[in-house]
Amino acid sequence: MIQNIGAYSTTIQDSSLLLVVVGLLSFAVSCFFMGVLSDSMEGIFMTYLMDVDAGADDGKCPPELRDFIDEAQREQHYK
Amino acid sequence: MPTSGTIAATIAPATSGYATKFEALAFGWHLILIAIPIAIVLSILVMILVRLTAACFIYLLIFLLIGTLLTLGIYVWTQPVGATTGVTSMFNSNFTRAVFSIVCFILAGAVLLFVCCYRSRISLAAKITQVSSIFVAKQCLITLVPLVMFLITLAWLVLWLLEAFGFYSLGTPVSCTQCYPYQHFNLPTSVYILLGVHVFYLLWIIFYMIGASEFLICGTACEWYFQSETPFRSTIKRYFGKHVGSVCAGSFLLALIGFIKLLYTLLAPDPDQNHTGAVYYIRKCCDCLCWFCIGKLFDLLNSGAYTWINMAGDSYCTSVWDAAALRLKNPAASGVLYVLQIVNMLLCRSLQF
Repeated sequence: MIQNIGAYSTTIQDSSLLLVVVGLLSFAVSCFFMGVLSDSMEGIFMTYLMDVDAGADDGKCPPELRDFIDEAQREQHYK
Repeated sequence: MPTSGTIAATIAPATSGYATKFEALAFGWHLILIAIPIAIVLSILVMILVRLTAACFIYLLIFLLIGTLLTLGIYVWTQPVGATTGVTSMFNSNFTRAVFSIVCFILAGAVLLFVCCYRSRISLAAKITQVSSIFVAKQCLITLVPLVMFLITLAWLVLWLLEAFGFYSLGTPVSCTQCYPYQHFNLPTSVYILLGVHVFYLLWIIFYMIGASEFLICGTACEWYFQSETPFRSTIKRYFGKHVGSVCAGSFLLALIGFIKLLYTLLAPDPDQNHTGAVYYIRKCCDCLCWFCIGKLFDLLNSGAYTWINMAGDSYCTSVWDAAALRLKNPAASGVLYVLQIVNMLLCRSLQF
């Protein structure tokens, strides 16, 4: 594909190493982003579990998780 | 004694193919520069996609899994007996085909039952995914943490290599014909042991860098969850003030597993001598799966423990135990979240390629 581009058709004879480097860089970038997302999922999930386990009595949590905290508190109350 | 010039002339025919490849790299450097922002944009797009469609995405995955199991079961069930090619050649008897199909149907049923019983837990996993991507968007500087750690590791790796060459040069130089340059040294056992310790040290440092990055991200997520005003700064302070040792302990365990795996790969008898055919491949698969599971299990225990340490300030061992116990109380949400992490990772990587 690269060799079909006019500017590179004469200057680049073998693009395999170039493609490998581009692939590795893209892979590294995706690893950084997805690693952060994965770790933050892990961190927020564990914090939520600990918060619910401790009774979640300080009322501080992301608004998106409010319903789940309330539901967990109700379940604990019935138990 | 050969000079650099004669060596260059000798290897020139063999390396002429590489020259054009490196020339292409020099001419196409701006393509590499363009690839980085494209990769960043694609990663951000995947995160936005995850944020907007987390619940739909999970249910889509589940129904795809059920559909695949049912289709596979029906396909094997309806194939004629005696097929000699393709997947069905393995199921030449009616009994094996029936057992395989029934197992597929039972698994599909079990997944469906799981969805019905744990619908609220699956919604929780979706919500956690959504909240995580909001966290990454709001604390976008956190994405630099793994990058900084990676650069520090690279710089350190250069030092490690220099040290390794230093240890290697402790051997006695010998003269031999038809040998590679590194084969011109006779190493005593003490140097082998030293090199082994050096490899362990490499693994420990790499896992330490990964662990420190995990600790900082989990800690920042934890602080952000409780609406702290400066989540990252507080986590950094806590990490350097109290918990460097905990990360050292966690990375030591992972390095130990990595080192044992390395020794096993180098020293274990070749399975080829005892087994042939399918048994050989089954053994290889079991080995890979076993090491993968052990590595992933410890990885999972570590990340849970780091969050626990951030919140409770306990020691590493207590935190691993307590975090694992808490996770086991919520197996459904934990499982869905873990599968989702793997799928996100695969999705993002496949998009990049």
